[in-house]
Amino acid sequence: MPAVETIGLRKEYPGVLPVKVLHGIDMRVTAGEFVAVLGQSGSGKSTLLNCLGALDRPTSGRVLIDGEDLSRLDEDELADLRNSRVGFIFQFHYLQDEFTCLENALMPVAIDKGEPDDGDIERVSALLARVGLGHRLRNLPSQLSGGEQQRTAIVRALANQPRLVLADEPTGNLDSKSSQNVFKVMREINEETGVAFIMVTHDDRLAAQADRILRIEDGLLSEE
Amino acid sequence: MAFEVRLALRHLRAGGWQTVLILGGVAMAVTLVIFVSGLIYGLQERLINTITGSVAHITLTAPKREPRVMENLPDQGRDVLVVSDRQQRLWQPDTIDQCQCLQRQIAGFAHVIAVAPTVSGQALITRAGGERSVRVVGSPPLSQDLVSRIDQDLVRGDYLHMQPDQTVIGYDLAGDLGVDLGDRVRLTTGEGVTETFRIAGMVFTGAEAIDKSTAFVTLRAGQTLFGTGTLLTTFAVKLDDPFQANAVGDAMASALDLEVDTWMRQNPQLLSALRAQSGSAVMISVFSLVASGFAIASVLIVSVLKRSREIGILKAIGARSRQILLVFTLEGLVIGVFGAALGAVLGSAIILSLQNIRQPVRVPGVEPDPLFPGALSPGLILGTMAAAIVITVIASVLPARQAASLDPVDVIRGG
Repeated sequence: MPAVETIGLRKEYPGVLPVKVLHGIDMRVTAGEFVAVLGQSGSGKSTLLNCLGALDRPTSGRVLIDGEDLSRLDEDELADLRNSRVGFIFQFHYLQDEFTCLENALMPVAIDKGEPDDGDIERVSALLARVGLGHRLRNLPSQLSGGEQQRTAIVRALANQPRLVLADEPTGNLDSKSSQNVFKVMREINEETGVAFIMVTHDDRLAAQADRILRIEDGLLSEE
Repeated sequence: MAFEVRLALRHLRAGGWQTVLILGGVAMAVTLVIFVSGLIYGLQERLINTITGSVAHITLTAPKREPRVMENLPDQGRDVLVVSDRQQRLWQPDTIDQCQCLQRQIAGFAHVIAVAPTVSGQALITRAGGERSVRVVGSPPLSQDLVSRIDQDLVRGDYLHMQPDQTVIGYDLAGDLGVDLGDRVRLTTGEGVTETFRIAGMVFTGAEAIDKSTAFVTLRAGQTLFGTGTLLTTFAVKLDDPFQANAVGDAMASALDLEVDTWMRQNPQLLSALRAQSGSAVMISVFSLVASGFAIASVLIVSVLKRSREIGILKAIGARSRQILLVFTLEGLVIGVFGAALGAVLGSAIILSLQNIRQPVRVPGVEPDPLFPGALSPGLILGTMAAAIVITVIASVLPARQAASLDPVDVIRGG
């Protein structure tokens, strides 16, 4: 079963002059794949990612995550689905300033259960150690470098063991060395755990290291 | 601890000075309410106590005699002068018969704690050329004391063991006449009776009517002075709750053939003044609590704006709208509870410390009242705290709804 699949996905922003962003996109990403999505700014990359991640509802067409049709779910069910089955990484880390690195990474677990149990803490600490933050667990975001903050955000995306991680220009705010480092971490986790990654990026060099590259142009998707 | 509680507490801790200020706002509002209400109710309590403590709550007198209607008059045409041959009744004080039986009946009414059979009227008190008009109250000291608490307000001397040839007079009256314990004064009534009394004591109640112009004598002496024989002019009644006076008085009026008057009917302005005071205390309380509510709402709205990205990401990673609503409402609740507790402590402390400031000593040997009497009741304190907490929570719901309705897509797109 594909980790995520779209059938005739259209997105249009209503208004006096309605803006058509996505014109019928059919795509599927299977478990374990690492897919890069390239495109000019304003081409609809982020809109596609938001629709795939149940943050935004398509105007028409369907999105299926693990075979489940998102159009059948209400707002609370979509929130639960984002919490348990999808991980998000954004250009900005958006960590909570008042919480430590470990607490931030555990945030999806806390939202789900209230209080993470020992097993959760152990698993997430191990992931943080895996991305090179084993010595930073008790630090606040303000005490971390940009790369470290973004690696914390990656672990947060993985905290509830989703099958799909959506990354929207995850290295867009980092220098090239940190970018490569962060990308490498994502690629390694993808290979080790089989989590599917869909990464939107401007960076052709990073995209070249993905399994597949999808290019989005004028709201239509083409595979390279 | 639930995620929502932890997030709310971290937000407040991270708020630093902002949290301190908003907490101080709630605390100040609660302090103000407790201080103002405590002072107003304290003053009222003292006023009511002074006024109702030393007077009868209900007085029962003989029914007023209606003017007699002339009957069997001849047909009167125009311009006819009718002359009655009936002789007008000679004036004499209206008196009450069947004293013992009536007294038992009156004592049987609800709320009644004391009944003093009394003969009272106006008289002149004279001493070495000086004279004053006084109200003479003749009644058994033991029951009169329950009605007017004379023994408690006695500055000097002895009331409870007063003899028929002794009198207890107001402290100011004694000063006016220049008399001291043991001195002799003369009382002269409209009935033309004059008797000499020795001063057995002086009373200071704070109520001018008593302190300046009242003389207490025994019932026997009163009956002699006013020529009532073995009859009475008045029953003075004390209740356990002064504010039941009208209700009990009405019940007595319908059951007994007596004229009923109550302290409440004698002091209508006082009662309306008290009501106006209570009303202003309530208004001040409501306005200060609502003002603190507005302040809290505006500070929390700013804090929601500041945190909109964090809120957006929380929703993106699966927080339900209801969870976000709960976080910010909890922040209001925590501020409300701690602010109210702090304010309750501060307000009570101010009221209690004011109790040490006493009025200047007027009468030697009498402990002066506090200058600012305060009334602190658990009801006032808990009620104010509850109102402050409720208003704080209501004030935080608006910003909390604003936070809960944030669309994560907008927040993320905004960068």
